[in-house]
Amino acid sequence: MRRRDKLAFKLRVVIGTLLIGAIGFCLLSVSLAAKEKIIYMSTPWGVPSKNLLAEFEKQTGIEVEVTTIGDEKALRDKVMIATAGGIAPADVIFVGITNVGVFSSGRSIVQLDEIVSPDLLEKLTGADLFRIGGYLYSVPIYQQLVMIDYDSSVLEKMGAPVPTTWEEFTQLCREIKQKGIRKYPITFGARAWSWYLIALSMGGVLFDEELNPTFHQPDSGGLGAMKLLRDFFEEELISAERITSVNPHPSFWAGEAVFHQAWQGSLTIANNPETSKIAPNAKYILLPDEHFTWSLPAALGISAFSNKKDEAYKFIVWFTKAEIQKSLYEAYGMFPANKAAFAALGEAGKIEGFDVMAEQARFVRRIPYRAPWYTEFENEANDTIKRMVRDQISPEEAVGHLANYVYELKKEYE
Amino acid sequence: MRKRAPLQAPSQTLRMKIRNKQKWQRSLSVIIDNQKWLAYLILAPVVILIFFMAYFPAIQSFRFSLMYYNTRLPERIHFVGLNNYVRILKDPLFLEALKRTVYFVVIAVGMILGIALAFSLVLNKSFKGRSILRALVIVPWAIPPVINGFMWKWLLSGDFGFLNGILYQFGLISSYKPWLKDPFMALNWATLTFVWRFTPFVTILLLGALQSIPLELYDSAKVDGAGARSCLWHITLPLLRPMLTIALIIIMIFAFTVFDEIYTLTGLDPATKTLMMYGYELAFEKGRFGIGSALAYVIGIFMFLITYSYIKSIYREVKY
Repeated sequence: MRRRDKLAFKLRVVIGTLLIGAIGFCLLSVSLAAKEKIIYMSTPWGVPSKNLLAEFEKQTGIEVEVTTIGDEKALRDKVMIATAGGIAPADVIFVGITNVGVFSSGRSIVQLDEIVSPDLLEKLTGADLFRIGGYLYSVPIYQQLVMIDYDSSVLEKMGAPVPTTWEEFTQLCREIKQKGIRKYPITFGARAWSWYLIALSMGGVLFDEELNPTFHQPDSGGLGAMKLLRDFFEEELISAERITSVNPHPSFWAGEAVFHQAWQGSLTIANNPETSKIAPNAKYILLPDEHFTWSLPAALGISAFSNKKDEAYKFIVWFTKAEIQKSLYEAYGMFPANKAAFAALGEAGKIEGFDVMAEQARFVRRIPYRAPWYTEFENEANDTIKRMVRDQISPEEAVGHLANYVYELKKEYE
Repeated sequence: MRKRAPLQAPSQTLRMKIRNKQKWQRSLSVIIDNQKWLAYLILAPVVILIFFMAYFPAIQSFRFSLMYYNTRLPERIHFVGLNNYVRILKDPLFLEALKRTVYFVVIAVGMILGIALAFSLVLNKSFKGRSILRALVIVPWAIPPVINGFMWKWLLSGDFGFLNGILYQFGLISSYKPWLKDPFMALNWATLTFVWRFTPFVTILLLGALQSIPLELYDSAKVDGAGARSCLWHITLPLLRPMLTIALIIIMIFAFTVFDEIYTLTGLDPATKTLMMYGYELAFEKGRFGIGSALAYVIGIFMFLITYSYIKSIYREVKY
């Protein structure tokens, strides 16, 4: 009798535990299934406000959970890891132009030609930049040119004109430093983007049509830019802090520098007294010498492993609406990809430095973002530039090494 | 008296059902009554979880380490045997990272053991405020590595860092220094951030061991005319040796696999790229899961050797 009781008790414990577990699981599943929910993975500057997201939920019944990742590199790592595991890191993924080649070749995001309506693309600028092999992989949400902005109050006090060549630019920065106006007049990072900026504006073409490197040739802008970047660090026109903390923006907004590697729309932040000490004195310059720059737009893609592709597309359509695009411009200075929103901002006089921007837009060259090996090249360029500004290698060795690296990558990927 | 109706014999099917039920109950009671089987039953969900969360990924990454696996080229994934291991061992960047890691481990182990021993000897003495000091000593260990890295980044900032501010105020430097510019110095500073966080833990370990040394030994030595230095060399250090060995191995394991602090301090900087960081770069930044997994297994072998000596030292201590 006692044995039977004991058996019954143990059975009850085991069955009870299983039941509690099963009930918990069912409740969780029911609560999750109760409403439609999608996950949106983005960098901080691609996230609409909570109010707008709540509005989207009200309109469509779809709740959006936002996963914010610090930068595009970290976002790429997460997406690639999830892809290797065959799962969706999120339903909608923020696709910076630097990641489009990797995400498409790695099959992390789906081709959107059959999903996206031509009417939607008609309303947006820059969809072609996100086409690879003729297929559309993401829908543009903002457009962006890389630019330089500066603290105009310093130049006015000095009575100095805006520099139009890199030589004038360097001389002016030396003068600013010598006079003790700013300890570090320039804020560029020890990274590939600063190298591209100088190289392209010097008139350099970094790659030829077949994506072979041209930046290592003796008279190329690539080599010239490496030398100039090294000189900026050597003469302490750029703070050595930019070797380990490559983000150039905070020190400009803190009023520590005069010239700053910026983006089209950055004046919205730089001239906002709540976010910048130099407000309202920030202005753009047309890039020196040959003026060329490149474009850094972003888009939204749908995870190849998402089972909520329809909901994800609804979110993308909503995201490209004029009001959402304008809010992104006001919050982060990201220029709307939506043509109507862009025009409305222009008409409302909300686009600062429009003339310089319009002029700058005439000088745009392409960076090989669409090559599947691009991000590996950029990683290597970042490392190489760090070693060069620390005097571990010369500019010639730096470009030589990078050129060989490109050839190796091309051989592997072809 | 009314006659009872004779009991009818159960049908063949019913007999079978009853027998089956009894059989099932017997086997269930065997499982539940048997302590061993019950333990297995209760542990099963945890074991399954651990398998899927720890061993399955480990097995999977071993499989990757034998393949050409580039996430950018999913259509070209194929078996390459031990090629990735050969490539890793021939890779000059691997050898550079290995050198950096060995330097990091040697310096970190030396500094931590030295400082922790000194601290623990001081904290073992009785003086006013000892308990407060003991509590304060543990604080750096309580700080998460990522926060520790960010804190040191701010301390060492060449533009507005605390260290520059202090040294400048005292007239020890004429201008702010970019402490992380020089690659060798950057590695040393990275080592220091690790030393700063790990020293308290080892201090507490050694303090515990010091308190287990019988005071009579010191008293007898003093009667025999031994000074403080003799006591340290002939009593304290020999009796601390087992704990020092354990501490040494624990520090080596953590130093060898350091990631968070350095990543937050300098990012994936070539000057401070240790083996773990190089592995992370290969697998996740460059998307080369094959060669990255091979490197992870090479690191795993190093770790196994260290852990093996750790376990051996524990058993040695039990014998002692």
